[in-house]
Amino acid sequence: MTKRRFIIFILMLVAVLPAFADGASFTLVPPRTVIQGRNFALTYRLVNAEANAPSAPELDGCSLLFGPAVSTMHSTEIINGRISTTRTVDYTYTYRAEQPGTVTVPELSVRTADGTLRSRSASFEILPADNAGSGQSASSSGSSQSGHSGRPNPGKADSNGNNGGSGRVSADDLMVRVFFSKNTVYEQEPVVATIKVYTRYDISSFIARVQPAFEGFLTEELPVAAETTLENFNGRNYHCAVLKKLLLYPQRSGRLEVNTGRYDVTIVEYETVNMGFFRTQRPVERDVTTTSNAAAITVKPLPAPAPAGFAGAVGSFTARTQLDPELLRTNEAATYSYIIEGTGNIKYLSEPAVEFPTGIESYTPHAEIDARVVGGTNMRGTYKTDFTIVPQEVGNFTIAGTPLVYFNPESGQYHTIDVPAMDVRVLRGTGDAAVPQQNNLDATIDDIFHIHASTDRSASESEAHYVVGNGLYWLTYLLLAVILVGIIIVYRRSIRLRADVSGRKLAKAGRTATKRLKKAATLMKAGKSEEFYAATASALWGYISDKLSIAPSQLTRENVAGKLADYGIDEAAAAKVMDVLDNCEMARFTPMGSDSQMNALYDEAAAAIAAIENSKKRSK
Amino acid sequence: MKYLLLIIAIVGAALGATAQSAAQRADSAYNKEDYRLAISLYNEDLATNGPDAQVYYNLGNAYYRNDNLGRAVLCYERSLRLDPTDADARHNLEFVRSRIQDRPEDDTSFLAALHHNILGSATANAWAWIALTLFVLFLGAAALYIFSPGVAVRKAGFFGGIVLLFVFGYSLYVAIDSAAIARSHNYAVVTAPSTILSSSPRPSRTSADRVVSIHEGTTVEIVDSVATPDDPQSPMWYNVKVNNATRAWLRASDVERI
Repeated sequence: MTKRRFIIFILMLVAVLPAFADGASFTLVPPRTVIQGRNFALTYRLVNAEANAPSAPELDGCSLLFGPAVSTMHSTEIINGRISTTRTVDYTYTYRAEQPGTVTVPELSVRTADGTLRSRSASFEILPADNAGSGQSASSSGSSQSGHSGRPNPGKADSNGNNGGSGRVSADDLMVRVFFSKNTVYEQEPVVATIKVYTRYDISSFIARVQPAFEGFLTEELPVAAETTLENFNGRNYHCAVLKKLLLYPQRSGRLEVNTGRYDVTIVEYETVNMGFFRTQRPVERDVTTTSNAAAITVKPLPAPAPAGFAGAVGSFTARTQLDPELLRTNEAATYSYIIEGTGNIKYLSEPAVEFPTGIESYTPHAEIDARVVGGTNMRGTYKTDFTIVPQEVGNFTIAGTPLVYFNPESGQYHTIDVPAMDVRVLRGTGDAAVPQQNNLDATIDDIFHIHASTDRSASESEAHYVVGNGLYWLTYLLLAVILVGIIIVYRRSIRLRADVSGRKLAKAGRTATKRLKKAATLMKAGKSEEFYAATASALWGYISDKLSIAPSQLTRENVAGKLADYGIDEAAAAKVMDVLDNCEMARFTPMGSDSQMNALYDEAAAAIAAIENSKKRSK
Repeated sequence: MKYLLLIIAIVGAALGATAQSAAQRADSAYNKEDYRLAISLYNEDLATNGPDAQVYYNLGNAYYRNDNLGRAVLCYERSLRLDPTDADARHNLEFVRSRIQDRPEDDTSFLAALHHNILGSATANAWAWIALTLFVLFLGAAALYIFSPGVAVRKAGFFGGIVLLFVFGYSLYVAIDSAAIARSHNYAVVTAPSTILSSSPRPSRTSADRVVSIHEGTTVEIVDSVATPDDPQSPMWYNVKVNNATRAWLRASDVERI
C-alpha cells in the first residue's frame, strides 16, 4: 500500500500538478436497504478536492457506531497523451439501525479551497427485523451491507446456520408470489400483475416449468429491472426479485383466477464442515421445486346498458379527425384520419365505423397504434385510423362525425365525445375528362311503399255493392236483347210488306170479293138482276186483279187466262173462272132475269173464288 | 259584424284542431315510428267508420313495421278486396309475401298471371259496366250485319260482332270472378306465428298426425269447417287447402278470414 502510494506520488510529481481542481464533487452513497438491528455504512465520497472530514450526520432511529473511516484512492489515466488524474476520498460512517422506518440523510457540506461542496440529501428504508430469525441477524453485518454490490446476501448464512444443514427447504424461505395492483377492476380496465420471487437462499438457477397463466386477460409485458432488493414480507426479510411484470386487461367479468406456476430452482446452501481444528462452510447446490400462489381478482362488468356506439373503449380518451389534403379533388386519393388519444386499453380499440357520403369511395381502413406504458400501471398513446378515400363526384359533402363512446372506470360512467362533422368540398381532379361519366339512376326500393295520407271520411256502408249481384243489371241485358229482336222483327215485316206492294190487296182479296158477293146476293134477293150481274162481275174481276196483281187497266180476258196459268191454277179451275166471267159478261148484256140463273151464277162465282183461294194455298 | 267574423274564425280554428280523425292521428303516429299507437288508431277508425281500402293499406304497413307479417298480409288482402286497382297495396303484399317463412304457391302460368293482372286493373263494378258497354256494341254490330245493305259493312258487322261477343263474355266473366273473390270469405291468413297442420280436426298427438307446419302470413283456402266443443283452445277447426297438394285441418283461432 505505501509502496503503491509512493509510486503514485512520484507519478504525480512527474505529471502536471494543476489538474487538481477539475470535476470536484461531494456525493453521498446511501445504503440500499437496511434491516433493523444490523449495522450499515454511510459513505461520503469526495472527488478531486481537499477538505476536512465531514461531521457524522444525525440519523433518526440509528446510532453512530464509529467513523469516519477514511480511504483514499488516486488514479491517473493517460489517453492519447492526455493525462487525467482522479483522487477519491471515502469517508465511511458505520451506524446501527435501531428503529424501522424511512430515514432521511440530511444535506452535508464540506469546505474546500475552491469553495463549499454540497452533498444531496437521500433517504433509505430500515426494514423491521425478521420475526423468526431475529437472533441471528447481528452475526453477519459488515460484509453484506455494501451499497455497491449487485446482489447483497444477508441472512443466508444465518438461516443456513439455523437449519443446521438439515436439507429441508422451508416453504417460507423460497416463495413465488403474484400480486395485483388492484383487487377489483372493471372489464378492460388495466391492472398490473407482478410476479416476485422471495428467497432467503442464494439461487444459482431458476427455470419456470409452468408460467402462471393469465386466462381471461389480454397481457402486455412490462420491462423489469434486473435487480434484487431486500423486502420485508410477512414479517421476514427476503431477497426479492421481480420475475415478471404484466399489464393485464380483463376480458370478462367475474372472479378471474391465475393458475399457479411451477418453478425448478437450484439453491445454494452452505454446509458447515468440521475440519477438526476449525469449522468452515462449503456451498452445496440443491434442486427445489416451488409453486406460485393462486391469485385472483374480481372483475366487474361494465354497467348495462351500454350506450349506442360503445365499442369497448375503457379509459380516458379524446378524439379528433383530420383530412389530408384538405382540398379534395375527384379521383385523387386523400386520407381521413380518426385519431383517438388517451389512457386506457388503447391497443385494443376497434376501428371507428365512419360513414362516408355516397360520392366518396372509401377503402379498408388502416390502424396505427402508438402506445407506451406510463407510470408502470397504464397505457397511454394514440390510435390512429387512416381511411383512404377517393372522391368520385364534384360537390360539397359532409363526412358525419362518428362519436367516440368510452367508459371511464374512475368515474364509473360512460362518456361520449362528439366529433364534429366535417364539411368537405370536392373539386374536379386534373386527370378527369371534361365530359363526366353519366350515372345510372335506376334504383329499386327494397321495402314496402309508404302509407297513403288518410282522408277525413264519414261512416261508409259495411258491405260493398256489386253490380253483378243486382238483378236489374241482368234485366238490362235481357231488355237490350229483346229490344234488338223486336226491332229486327218489326223491320223484317215492314221490309217484306214494302217489297210486295200488292200483298195487302192479295191478303184482302178474298174478303173484298166475299163482301162484293154478299152485296150481289142482296141485289139478287131484291130481284135487281142487272145490278146483280154487274156486282158479281166486278167482284170477280176485282178479286182477280187483287189476287193476280194485275192492274185494272190490263184486265183483259187473255191476260187473266195467262196469269191464272202462271199462278199455278189448274186448267179446270181456270176454265171455270173464265166461264163464270164469260157468263157474267153475257148475262149483263143479255138480261134473262131468271132467279135460278142468278142463283147458279152466284154459286159458280163463289166456287171459282174458292177454287183460286184453295189452289193458292196448295201452291204455297 | 266584425266580432261575429272573429268568433267564426276562432270556432273554425278550434274545430280544425280537434277535427283530426283517428286515421289522421294514426298517420302522424306512423310517421313518428310509433307503430303500436298507429295500429290501435287505424283499428279504431275501421271500427267506427267501417272498412276502407286506404285505411287497411296503412294498417298493413303499420303491422309490417311492427314485425307482424301475418296481420300485414291480412290487411293488404282486405285492402285489395275493397280496391283491386291499388298498385301500392299489391306491391306491398307481394313484398311482404316474399318475406314470410312459407314460400307461396307458384302456380302462375302466363295466362293465369295475365288474368290476375286484368283482375287487378279495374274494380268488379267497372268490369260490369265495361261488359254492358261491350254488349251494347255487340248488339250494334249485330244490327249493322242485319240491317246494312252494303256487303263490306255487313262483313265488318259480322266479324266485329263475333270479336265483341268474345270480349264481352270475358269481361263479364272477369266482373263476376272479381265480385266473387271480393265477396268470398273462404280465404284466410295465418296470424299465429306458426301452427301445425293436422290430418284430423284435433291437436296432433303423433308425428303421423302432423302434416306440415305453416307460419304467419300464409294464405289458405277454407274448404270445410267443423265445430270442436271438446278443444278448449279453439271451438272450431277448418279444413284448409294450402296449395294444390296439401289439404289438412288447423285451428280456427290460428287464422283469420279475409
